[in-house]
Amino acid sequence: MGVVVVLLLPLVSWLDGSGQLAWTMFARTGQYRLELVGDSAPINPTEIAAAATPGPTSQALAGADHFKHHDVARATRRRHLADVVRLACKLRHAKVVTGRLEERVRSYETIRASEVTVQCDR
Amino acid sequence: MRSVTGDPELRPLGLARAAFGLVLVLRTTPVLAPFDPTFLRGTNGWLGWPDGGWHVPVHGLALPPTVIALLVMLRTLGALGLALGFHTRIAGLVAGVAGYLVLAQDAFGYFHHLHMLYLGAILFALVDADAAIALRLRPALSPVSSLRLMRAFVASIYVWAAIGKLASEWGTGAALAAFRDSGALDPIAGLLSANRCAAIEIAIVAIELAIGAGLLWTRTRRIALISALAMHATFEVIARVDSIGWQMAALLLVFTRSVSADSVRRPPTIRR
Repeated sequence: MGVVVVLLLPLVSWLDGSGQLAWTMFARTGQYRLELVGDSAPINPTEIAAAATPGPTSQALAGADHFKHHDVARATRRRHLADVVRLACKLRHAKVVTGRLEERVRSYETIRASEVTVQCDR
Repeated sequence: MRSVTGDPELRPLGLARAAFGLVLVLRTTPVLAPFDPTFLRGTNGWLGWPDGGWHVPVHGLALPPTVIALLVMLRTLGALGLALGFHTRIAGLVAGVAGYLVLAQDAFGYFHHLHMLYLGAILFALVDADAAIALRLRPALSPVSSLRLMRAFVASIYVWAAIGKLASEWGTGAALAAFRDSGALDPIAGLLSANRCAAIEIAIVAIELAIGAGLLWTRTRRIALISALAMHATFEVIARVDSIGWQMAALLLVFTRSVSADSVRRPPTIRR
């Protein structure tokens, strides 16, 4: 039990890149920015945040059109980028929504981007 | 009185469990609402209670609102049981598992201190934390390993926290500058120049490593304990750290016995 709690859980979360179970609170300097486009028109993540309120999802999306410093939110956003894009589908009733996440784990690193396109259910 | 205080050897564990259970109750219910703590603002106080907002469940584990409400109630009852030492083992497991299930309803609701709350509740349920300071005392099954497990858990949090910082940009000044710029360190923002940020970062990492190691040795435990409490008090005053300082203070109580026992057992100094 001790080995699992003290070593394995934190180590596994290091391996998946998030460090979420490795007590990395306040350790990381990760930043992220989110761009959403529905049927070629930009969607501000803060609009999604307003529609998502109340709850943590809305707090995480508010102001995400600019670079924000929050590594747990960065890692979670990358993991759930498609889910965020589906939320945008609900708001805009677009046919296609694309989400582009720009992120860097350290302030001196080059920005990495990941993109997800979702065909929205009508 | 003995019927509540229980096994003297395990009183630190019982005390830590009671304090940790209390923090769990205070963090996940609206009890503190009259004091307007930051973590309760904009909420109804019941952490994770169904609210009609949009949520992104972890691994698609979306539960109906009625079930989530039931889990929140179970988590609260479990936390109360943990704090009071009433059916502690079941209470801790229920609080921890229900807490994780509620937490899984929103991936963006994950924070380290919530993981610590629920994992801590489960750990207290699995060790002999019900052998002392409990309404319903149970004989200890493995007192030595219980105490060792909880102590190793607490010390490991400091060591992992330091490792995380070493693997990041701590020591360069970039980390504290980022927190300063995000507004998280407003009370001391004016004092945080680039050079000072780097020096403070190095100091914090060194202190965390020293606390983690110091807690594990009897000779250094007292100073490590005092340093840890001082560090958390400082963070509490200058940064937005939610309930993590209170959680750590509760967990640190598992180290208290050695401090008092050591001072009692220390042989008297012979003056010549």
